[in-house]
Amino acid sequence: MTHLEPEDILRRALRETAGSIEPTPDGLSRIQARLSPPRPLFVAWLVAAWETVSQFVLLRLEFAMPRLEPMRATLVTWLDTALPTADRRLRPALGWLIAALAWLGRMVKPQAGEHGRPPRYGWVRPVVAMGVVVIVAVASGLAMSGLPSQIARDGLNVFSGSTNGSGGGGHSPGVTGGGKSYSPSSGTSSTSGTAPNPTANPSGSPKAKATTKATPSPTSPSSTSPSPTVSPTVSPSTGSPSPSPGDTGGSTPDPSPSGS
Amino acid sequence: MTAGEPGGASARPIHVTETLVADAALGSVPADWDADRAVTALYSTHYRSLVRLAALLVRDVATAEEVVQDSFVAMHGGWRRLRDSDKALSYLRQSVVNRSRSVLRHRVVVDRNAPKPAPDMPSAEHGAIALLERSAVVSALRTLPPRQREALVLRYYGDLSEAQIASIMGISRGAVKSHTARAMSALRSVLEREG
Repeated sequence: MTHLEPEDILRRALRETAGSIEPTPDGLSRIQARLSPPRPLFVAWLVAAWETVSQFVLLRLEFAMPRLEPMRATLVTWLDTALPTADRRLRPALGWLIAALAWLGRMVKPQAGEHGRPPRYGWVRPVVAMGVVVIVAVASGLAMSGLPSQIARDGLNVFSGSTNGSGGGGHSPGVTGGGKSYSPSSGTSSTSGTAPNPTANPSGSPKAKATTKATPSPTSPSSTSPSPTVSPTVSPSTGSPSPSPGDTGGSTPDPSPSGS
Repeated sequence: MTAGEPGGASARPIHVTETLVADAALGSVPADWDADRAVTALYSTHYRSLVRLAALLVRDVATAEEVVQDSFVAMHGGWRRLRDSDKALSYLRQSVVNRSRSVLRHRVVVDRNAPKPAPDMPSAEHGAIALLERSAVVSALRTLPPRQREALVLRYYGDLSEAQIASIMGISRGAVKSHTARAMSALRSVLEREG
């Protein structure tokens, strides 16, 4: 047996080990699959930055979600009570946003023993405060925007309740004394106590258009925009002097709710 | 693009690719070739040896293939900026070594934070590494610092000169000598036992 130099031993061992390694035969196809036309450097930087930031944010969110869940539920409950007229679709999002900002503010709060020197993320607190102010302002705006329709609905309820002495459904909007509600879109009556109130639909939906068509109005036949003030006239059994849609229009309709 | 798989019938029996010989003709492609053609040519002649080089460094064949494929993709992307197409093979080697270094660095971080597996449950990666370390010399190579391991693999598997190793590793020739000597000194007891 010949004595081998250490270098030869190492060389032989490395080659024996490497000789047992066989790459998979689909290497070229995998390389070709990954080859794509080169992108501009700026776009590549943007894509890389976006991927990095999104991964970071997603990881942070995944970590923070369990902590935010109780706060979110509390805030949604508070919004349910404090902002009754706000759009319900926005409440969960607002709750999440406020909870996230609150959590962020708590995270960057200076710890004990750090007094006397500026906190590391001290600049975040004013930003969080401004964000909260903006959110509160938006929520207030949403609440205020829903206020007129709420007032009109309450007014109709008062109106219907005061003139409707009989029937258990007197407080339901548009419910007649006989327990029936008028459906302005079809012109028929239904027994549902929760029939949609035409006054609560300020948008130009087909129902509102049907209301204006059903109401004879020789003075403004082309008016298709529904008005909350028109709605009380569609209640046929309120006893008001306004003509009901079922009435033959010999008289001029009065669009204003009278007698209230 | 005509594919020349290393193990396929279309591949030429290039025995020199069993080692990373410093033959400039094998690492060069004509300057007027486009990137696709160059990648195909370099793949058919050097892919296997580069995978083996990477496997000796990262101790995992699948990872080594990914490393080499990444290097080919990077070379394809930077083909126009590659001033000297004769240096394509050198570029690939350097890219493989650098990416292997990154893999090892990442693996250290992952191992530091990963939960400890049950002692009777060897991972798949462990099996792949064990396949590479049947030789006591190669397993002893694992204990070396990364730079020393790179220097030894490039020197004794790649048969590269000190100047080439210095270029690939981005260090001086003196540093290459130093790394090689220290690594050989550390391995000497194992090597004498094997001899």
